[in-house]
Amino acid sequence: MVSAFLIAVVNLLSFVLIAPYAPSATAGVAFLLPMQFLLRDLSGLGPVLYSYLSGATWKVLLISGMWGLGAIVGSLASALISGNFKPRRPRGIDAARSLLGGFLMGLGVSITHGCNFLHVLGGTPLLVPASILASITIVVGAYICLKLMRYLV
Amino acid sequence: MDFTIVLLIALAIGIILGFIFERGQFCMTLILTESVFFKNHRRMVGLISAILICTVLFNIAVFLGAVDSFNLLRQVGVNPNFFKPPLVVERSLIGGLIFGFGMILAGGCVAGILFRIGEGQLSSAIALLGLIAGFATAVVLEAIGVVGPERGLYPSGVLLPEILQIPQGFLVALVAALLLVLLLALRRRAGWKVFSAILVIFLLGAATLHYSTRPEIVTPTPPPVQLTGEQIEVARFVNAFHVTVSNRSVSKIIPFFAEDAVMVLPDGTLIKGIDMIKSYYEEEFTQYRQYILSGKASKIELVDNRATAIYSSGLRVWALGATLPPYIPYREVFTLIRIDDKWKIETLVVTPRGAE
Repeated sequence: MVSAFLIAVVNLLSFVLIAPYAPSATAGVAFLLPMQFLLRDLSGLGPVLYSYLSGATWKVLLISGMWGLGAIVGSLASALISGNFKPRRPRGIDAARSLLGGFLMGLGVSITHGCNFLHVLGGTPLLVPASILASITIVVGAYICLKLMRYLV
Repeated sequence: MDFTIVLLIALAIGIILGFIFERGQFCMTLILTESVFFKNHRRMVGLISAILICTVLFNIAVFLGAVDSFNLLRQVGVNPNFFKPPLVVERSLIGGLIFGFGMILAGGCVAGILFRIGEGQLSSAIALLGLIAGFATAVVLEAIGVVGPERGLYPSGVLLPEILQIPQGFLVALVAALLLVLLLALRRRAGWKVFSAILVIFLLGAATLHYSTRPEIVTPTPPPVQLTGEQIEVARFVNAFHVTVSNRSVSKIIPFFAEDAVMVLPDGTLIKGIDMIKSYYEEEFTQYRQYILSGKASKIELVDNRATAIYSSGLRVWALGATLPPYIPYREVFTLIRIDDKWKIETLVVTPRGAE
């Protein structure tokens, strides 16, 4: 409960100063940053890539990237302080499952324009219809997957 | 405002949240797994409490004007509505389901995999690589045209109270009450039956919204009072045209034009005939995610079965991304003809305002 309260308060600060916390586009920055460096002339790109790599959208991706990077740094600090930091290698099958899961999440983020955090703790409180619907379907999708896994395993 | 300051603030917020995520092990996958598999709703209560607190605090902040006063996004040229995505039901349904599946397979939601990377879990780093690959695939599919630009039922930034025509405060109170009921249900371990019932109610509501008639977003400008009866009729026709264009419905726009209608665009391009006009609007609406046209009559003249209407109009279009939509002022000159007692556009000349 304390964590929930603190998350809500910091998310409020994020919302007032910038926007509700939405770290998912960290993936976008990681993907597009090399293009940003490699391509000198962006004007030859199609409108979609051009819009991602220039102007306001690029700024949004960078902000999101900072949110994501910050979360890694903050959790690393917390893990080191609490002694929870321990490098762990997954088994091959788990690594493949993580990769597939991450891939699906990346697709979902792009299709719904946000991750679970933005939709559940950003859009839904603001009564954004797309976020309310996305939050519900994320929970439903996760629930179906959990039930399937229970059935299959 | 220097953009670097915004980035530093974002980084600081990320660091604080990362710290809290790790301390509280905040991850939606963990929350759902515990709730579904072990009937342990302790974390779920925490999540719903966080949504409840955010709902109350966010709306108080908006009500008090704190967001308008302190938000830095506009100062760096970013449209804050970018974080309030337009409602595209198919996208929310399909994307949400895909994300939900992925979240379970990856063993963590986005916040979860980020804090577990900080804890040294390589599997979360691999999930992040997958996230990057998934995002990249979606962008490439969009770039090569496999996934078309979405057509939102409502533009970005339109909230549920505006759509349902319910006062914001009332709806916020309703949502807060609903979340409280949910919290109590979980505390009493009523569990998934109550939760599912509430979800079904929400889904039915969403479905009703989707299949009900799409409301008009742009309120027609009322005709000036000094217009005569027939002039008012012409003004209503032009206003209805503006509203229909703003709703991006090509099939509804076409009946406004005569078969051999002519359009002249601001760059001098001549568009002749109903088929070319149809193609023009289809192309326009494919390019732009939002398209809002409105105008005020400057002059309306009627002679027999014809009318000329001069409008000072403005267009707000934006394609992709988070750019603040510019307002483009135009002058529209309509020549209308009455065919079978209905007005039709015979010619429409659009010129940039100030350039006429």
